[in-house]
Amino acid sequence: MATFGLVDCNNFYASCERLFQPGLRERPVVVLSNNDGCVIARSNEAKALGIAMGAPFFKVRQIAMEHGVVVRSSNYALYGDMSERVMSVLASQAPAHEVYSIDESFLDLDRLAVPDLTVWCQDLRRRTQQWTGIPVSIGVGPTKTLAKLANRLGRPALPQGEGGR
Amino acid sequence: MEHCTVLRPADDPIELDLPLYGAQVQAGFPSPADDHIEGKLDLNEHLIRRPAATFFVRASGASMQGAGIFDEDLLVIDRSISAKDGDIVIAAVHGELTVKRLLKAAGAWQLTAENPDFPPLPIIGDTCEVWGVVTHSIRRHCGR
Ligand SMILES: [Mg+2]
Repeated sequence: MATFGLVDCNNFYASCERLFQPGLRERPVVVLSNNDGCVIARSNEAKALGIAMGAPFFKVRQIAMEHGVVVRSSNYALYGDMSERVMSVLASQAPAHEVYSIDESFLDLDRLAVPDLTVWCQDLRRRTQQWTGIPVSIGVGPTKTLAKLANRLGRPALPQGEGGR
Repeated sequence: MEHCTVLRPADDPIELDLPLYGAQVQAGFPSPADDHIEGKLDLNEHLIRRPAATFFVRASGASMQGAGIFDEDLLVIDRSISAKDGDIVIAAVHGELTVKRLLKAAGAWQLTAENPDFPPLPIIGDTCEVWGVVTHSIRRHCGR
């Protein structure tokens, strides 16, 4: 049976911002789109405040101010560099992988001969986080769709807990 | 606290192999240079073992002088290396990045400066965290 993994970087843009500024770690962080118009990434703390993905910033400005949310303009050069790092760690560990978006990659785990796939995935998570500083989640399933679903289900439930960076 | 700045490597690093001379500079008389070419050296290759895990950091302040790290020196950080007792590390301390030596003293981890003017920082709870291990420092010796 085919086995796919989906690796998805957690709150990718927000995690990139945090890596270089550890002081942002416990604080809610949002990243805005190019013209600072819309929220395109939220840390878990920002999600917990009910700030929605894609929300126009003017709609959440009030709540952001009240809760000391750190607001960042997007820095695509940084996110591109960090994405390349994550993808290269995945490429070095998985038999084959296919980059799906800036922060997601499908792993083809068919030919992976390991005694315990869960342990292998936990190891890959730890390694990716240590090497690049970016936390990731991994879902595994017999199809790409199910791997993606498994990834989604494996995450902590949050208000407006839909995906996104 | 002296804060360090993280720099990202260039987007398109070039490979540049230059001859490496095995010169014993203190040895006195010069001899024909050809005898001393040991091979080719590419600085990226020399300094960077795992590009995905490598970051550059600009050091700041005088706290690591004793280890030969001075203000404005460039540090090469390899996050794939797990920090051990005695390593020089970049640590996140109260949310800021700083360079210190990681030491285990009487069973307790601490971050120590290499300058008598700076007291050691005990690592308590999650106020401190190792961010990466410093593998090299690069220092400019000629300002022009
Ligand atoms: Mg993501």
